[in-house]
Amino acid sequence: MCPDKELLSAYFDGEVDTVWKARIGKHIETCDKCKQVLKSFESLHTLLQTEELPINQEKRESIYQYVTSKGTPAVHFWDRRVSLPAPIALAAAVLFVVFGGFIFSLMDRASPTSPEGLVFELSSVSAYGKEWERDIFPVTELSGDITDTDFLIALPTHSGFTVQGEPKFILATEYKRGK
Amino acid sequence: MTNEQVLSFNKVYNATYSLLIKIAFHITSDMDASEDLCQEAYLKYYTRKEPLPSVEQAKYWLIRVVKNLCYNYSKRKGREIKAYEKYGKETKTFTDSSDASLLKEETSMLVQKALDKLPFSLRIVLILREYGGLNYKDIGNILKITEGNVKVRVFRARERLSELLKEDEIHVS
Repeated sequence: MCPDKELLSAYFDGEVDTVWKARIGKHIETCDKCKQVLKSFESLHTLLQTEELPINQEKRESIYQYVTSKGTPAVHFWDRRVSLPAPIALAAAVLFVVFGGFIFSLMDRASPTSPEGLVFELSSVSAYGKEWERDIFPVTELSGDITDTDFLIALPTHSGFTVQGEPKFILATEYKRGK
Repeated sequence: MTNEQVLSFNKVYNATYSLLIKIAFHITSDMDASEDLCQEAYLKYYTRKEPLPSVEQAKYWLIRVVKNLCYNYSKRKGREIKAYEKYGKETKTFTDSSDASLLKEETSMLVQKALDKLPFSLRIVLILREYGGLNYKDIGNILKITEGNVKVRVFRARERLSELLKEDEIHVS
């Protein structure tokens, strides 16, 4: 049985493994039909090679010159050298310092510095709510009239709070004293 | 580029120039365009961030780039020719001569014309095989297709080309 034309085409290109190569070679010797197919591939190959493509040597040289003169290797932007005239660089530095200082001072003003506002607001939740000043006294400074049933919420004397963990709501019913 | 890199570019250029021109010409059928497109491909290679480690790899890279550039060029050109032919103007001229070299020239023109009629997917494998002398594995690598697919396409391209040439009364047997 004849191998299919596709296999013969691969055979013609030398793209068949050695086992098949030997078998097909043997078959072709005795098969005129397959011989003819191979001959047609050969003729086509010859026909395609008819053309002698002339290489224009001048053009070849000019392309080389063009590429090597025009092309500069690409450089990452962080590797690129940036040059600025000295006065402009100085002006940019001064501008940076002035703007930086201005923005820093704005940020400084925006942050709360005095504890009063905060304490005043929170004083209403205190159990000792006669006067707000009293609420900010540390527990140790209070007189010993705290009974078992009393509890105290005292705010610290400074405002440097740090956030620790997630805020949580605890239901009053869940609170069992002493447990 | 350092001297070493320029030297390696020189090596790549010498090893690939005629091959690239040949491939480009058989895709575009236009020598001037092929030279321009090859120049563009070399410029792309030269300005690559890193030169490729071997001449072989550079060759495959360049063939791939040239193939793409030529494909885009042909598509653009094809549209232009279609528009031109719409106005009833003939773009091709035929010479009739008995002179042997002219006959040869005419044959290769007809072959090129027939090759142009093949769909690009078939044409490119045949060009790389016949003009580039590349094996199926390399063609597969360049076109990003399997060797089996290359085998099928090469065969189909041969069959179609033979039929087209028969129509032009060039018999392949």
